[in-house]
Amino acid sequence: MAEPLLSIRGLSKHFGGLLASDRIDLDVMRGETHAIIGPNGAGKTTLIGQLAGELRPDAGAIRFADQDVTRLGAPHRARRGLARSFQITSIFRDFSALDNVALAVQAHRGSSFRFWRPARVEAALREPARAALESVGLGGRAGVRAASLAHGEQRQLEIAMALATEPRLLLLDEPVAGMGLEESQRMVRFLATLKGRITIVLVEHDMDAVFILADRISVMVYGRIIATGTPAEIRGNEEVRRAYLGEDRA
Amino acid sequence: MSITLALVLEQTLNGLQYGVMLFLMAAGLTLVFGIMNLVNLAHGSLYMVGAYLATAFTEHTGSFVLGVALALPATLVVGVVVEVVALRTLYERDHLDQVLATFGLILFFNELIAMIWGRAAIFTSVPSFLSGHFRLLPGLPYPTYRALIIVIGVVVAVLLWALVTHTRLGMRIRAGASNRTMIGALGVDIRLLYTLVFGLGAALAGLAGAMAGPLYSVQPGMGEAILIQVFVVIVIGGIGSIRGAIVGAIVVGMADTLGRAFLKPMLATMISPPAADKAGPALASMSIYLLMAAVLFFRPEGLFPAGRRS
Amino acid sequence: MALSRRTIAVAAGCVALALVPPIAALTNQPFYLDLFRRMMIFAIAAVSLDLILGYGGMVSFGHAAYLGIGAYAVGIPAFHGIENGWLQWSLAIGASALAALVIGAISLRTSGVSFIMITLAFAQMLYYLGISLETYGGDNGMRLAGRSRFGGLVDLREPTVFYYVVLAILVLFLALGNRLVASRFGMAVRAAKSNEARARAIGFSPLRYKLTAFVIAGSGGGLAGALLANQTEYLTPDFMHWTRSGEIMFMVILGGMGTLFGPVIGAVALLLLEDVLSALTAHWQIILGPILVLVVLFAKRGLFGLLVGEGSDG
Repeated sequence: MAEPLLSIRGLSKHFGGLLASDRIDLDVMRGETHAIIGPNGAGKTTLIGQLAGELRPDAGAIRFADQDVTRLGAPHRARRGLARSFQITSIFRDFSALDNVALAVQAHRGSSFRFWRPARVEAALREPARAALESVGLGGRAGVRAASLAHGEQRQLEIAMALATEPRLLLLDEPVAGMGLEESQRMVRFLATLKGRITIVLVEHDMDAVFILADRISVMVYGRIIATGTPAEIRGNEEVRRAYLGEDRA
Repeated sequence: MSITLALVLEQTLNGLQYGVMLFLMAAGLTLVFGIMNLVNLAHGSLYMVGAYLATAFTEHTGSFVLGVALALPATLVVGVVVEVVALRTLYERDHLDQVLATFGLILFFNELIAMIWGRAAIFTSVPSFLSGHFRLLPGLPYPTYRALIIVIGVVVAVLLWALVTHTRLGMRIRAGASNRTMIGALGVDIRLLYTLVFGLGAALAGLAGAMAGPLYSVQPGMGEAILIQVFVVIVIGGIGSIRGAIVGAIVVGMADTLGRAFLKPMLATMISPPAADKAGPALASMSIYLLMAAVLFFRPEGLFPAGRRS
Repeated sequence: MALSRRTIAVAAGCVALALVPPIAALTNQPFYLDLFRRMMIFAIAAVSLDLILGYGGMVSFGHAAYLGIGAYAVGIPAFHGIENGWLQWSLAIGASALAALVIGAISLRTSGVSFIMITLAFAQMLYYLGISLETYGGDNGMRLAGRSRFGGLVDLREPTVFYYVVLAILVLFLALGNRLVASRFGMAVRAAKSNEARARAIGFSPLRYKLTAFVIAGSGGGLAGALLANQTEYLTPDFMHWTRSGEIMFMVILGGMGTLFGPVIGAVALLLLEDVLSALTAHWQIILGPILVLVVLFAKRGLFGLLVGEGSDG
C-alpha cells in the first residue's frame, strides 16, 4: 500500500484545562481530497494550526512527505510543499494582488538574499504569479491593492498564493467562509479542478462543498476524530448523525 | 579593599534595597503594559515628579514624613491628569506611536522641572530620626533609612499581591490582563479601570521617587536612568507579571549593586590590578544588560510571562 | 522613463542640498554649510533607521548606539595617531555591523514591546561602556585629534570638500537603499512587516532577513557616526544616549516612515526646528516635547507623504 502523504499519530494539545486535540490519528493519501468536519469548538482550527506548524503539539507526531515534521516550524513545512489558506483572510494588504502571489513564488524559488535587482521586474517571479492569478480567476485584478479586493477575491488570492508555491499538500481552512452562494460555487468548482493533482485537506462547514469535493471525510468532535470514511459511509454513520449532521441531512 | 562577610551582607542588603526601588517602578509599568497594552516611557518622569514634590513638601512642612505622604497623592494626581489628557488617545495606537508620544512627554517634563527648580542636582538628606544605623548583627551596622525602604517594599509587595488576588479590583485587573476585549464586553467600566491602574502605577513610582531623594541626587532626567533598568527588570521578569517584577527587581538590584561593589576586586584577583581598575567599573555597569541578554537567550518571554490569551 | 512626483521631489532635494555651499559662500554665511552638513549626517542615520523601522517594522530604540560606535571608531584610532580615513571608516562600519549582529541576534528573538525595551537597554549599555572609557575622556568625551585623512583624494579639513563628501554618501545611501527595498531581500523584509504569519506560511523564515536588515542599518548608523565625529571634532558618549535614538526616530516619523527620502526631510525639519526653538528660549524642549506628541497623534504620515501624496508602495 502506498505511503500516506500526511500521517498523524497520537496528536494531542491542550490549552489550560481544555483538551483541543485528543490523540488524533489520521492518514491522508497522495492525490486525495480529505475533508475534516465537526461542530464549532471541535478543535479543527487547532488541528490545522498544528499541521501548518504554527502550533506545537503537546504529544504525537506528524509525518509529511516521508519526513517527521513535528518539530519543524511553518516556513520549513511550507518549503517542503505544505501550503495553506487561513480561516480569517491573511494576505499582504498593502501590496498588489500580483505582488502577493509573486512573494509566494519568491519564497519557494531561489534565494531571497538578492539585494540589487528589483523583484518586480523578475519574469521568473511575475510569470508564475500571473499564471496562478489567472488560474483562480483573478487575472484581471493583478494590479489591484489586496486590501481593496472584495472579500471573495481575497480568498481566491489566498488560494493563488498557496498554489504558487507548487505545493504537495494544500491545507484549506474554510475556503468558502463568508462567501455568497455564487462565489462559493465558483470556488468549489475551481477546487474540484485541483482534485487528484494536489492532495487537499479541507476544513469546512459548508456541507454541499464537502460532499462534492471530498474523497474521504473525517469527523471531529471534542478534539477527537470519531469517524473517517467516504461521504456515503459518513452519511450513513449513526454516531456522526447524532453528533453533528442532524436527522434532516440527506 | 578587603572583602569581609560583613561587607558582603551589607552590599546584599543594599542590593535588596535598590531592588525595592526597581520593584515599585516595575510593578506600575508592568501592570500598565499588561492591562492597557501601553508602553509608557514617561513612567520615569513620574518618579522624578515624586522626588521633586517630596523635596518641596518636606521643605515646606519641615517634616520628611509629611513630605512623602503628600507627594504620594500629588504624584497620583499628576499621573491621572497625564493619563486623561495625553495617554487615552494612545491606547488604540501601536507601540511605536506610544513610544514616540511618551518620549515627547519626557522632554516636556524634564524641561518643566528644570524651569521650576533649575537643572542643578538637589541634594536632600535623610531626616535625622532616620539617619542612624542600627545593629543588624554584631559587627554589622546598617543604615536605618535603607532598612526602612526594604520594609516598605515588602509591605507594598504583599499589599499588591493581596490586591491582585483577593479583591474585586484585582480580579478585574487580572481579567483585563488576560483578555481585554472580553472584560469590556462584561460591562466593566474600562476607562475607569485604566485610570485607576495608571494612578496606582503613578503612586508607586512617586513613592519610589520620594524615598529616593535622600539617597540619590534629584535632578531633571533622573527618571530615565532608572527607567531603563526597570525595563530590564520587566524583560527579565516577564511582561505583565507582578511576580516577575518582584523576581526581576531582586535579581537586577542584586546584580547591579554587587557588581559595582565586587567586580573590581574580584577581577583584581584574576588579572592585574590596573586592568581590573579599568575593566571593573565598565563590566559592572554593563552587568545587568549582559544578564538580560543571557536570560533572553534562553527564555525570550522572560522568567514569568503572564500567559496571555488573545 | 516617466518621472514620478517622488523622483522629482528627491532630485530637487538633492539639487537643493548641492547648492548650499555656493549660496553660503555668496551670502557669506558659512554657518549654513555647517548646519546643512550636520543635517545630512543625521539624515544618513535616519535613512538607515528607516530601512528597519519603516520597511521592516522593527522599532529599534537603540540606533544611536551605532553612531556612537562609528564615532569612537574614528576617535580612538585618531587618539593613537592613526588618522587613515579608510581604516577608521571601515572600522566604523565593521564594528557597528558586528554590534548590530550581536544585538539583533538577541533582540530579534522577541518582538513588540520587549524588542523596543531590549534595543533601548543594549544601547544604554554601550553608553555606559563609553562613559567607563576613562582614557578616551569618559563621560566628558574627547576632542578628535584630527579629521580622517584620505591621502591625496579628499581633504576633509576643507569645509566645502567635506560637505560634498557627505552629500555624495547621502545620495549613495538613498540610491542603494532604493535598490535594496525593491530587491527580493527588501520584499521579504517588507512582507514580514506586512503580515508575519502569512510570510511564514508561504515559506519565508523572517528572522534571517530581519537580522540582515538590522545589520545593514547598523552599519549605516556607524558610517554616520564616523561622519559625525569628523563634523563636530568632538565625541562624547552622549552620541549614544537613548534620547538621541529618540530624536533619530522622530526624524524618520516626521519625514515619513518607509519612504527613504522622507527621513532626509525629517532630519532637516527637526534640526531646523530645534535650532529655531533654542534661539527663542533655553527651555526649548518644553515646546519640542508637545510638538512631537502632536506629530505622532495627528501627522503620522510625515512630511514626505504630504508632499508627494499616498502610495509609498508604488
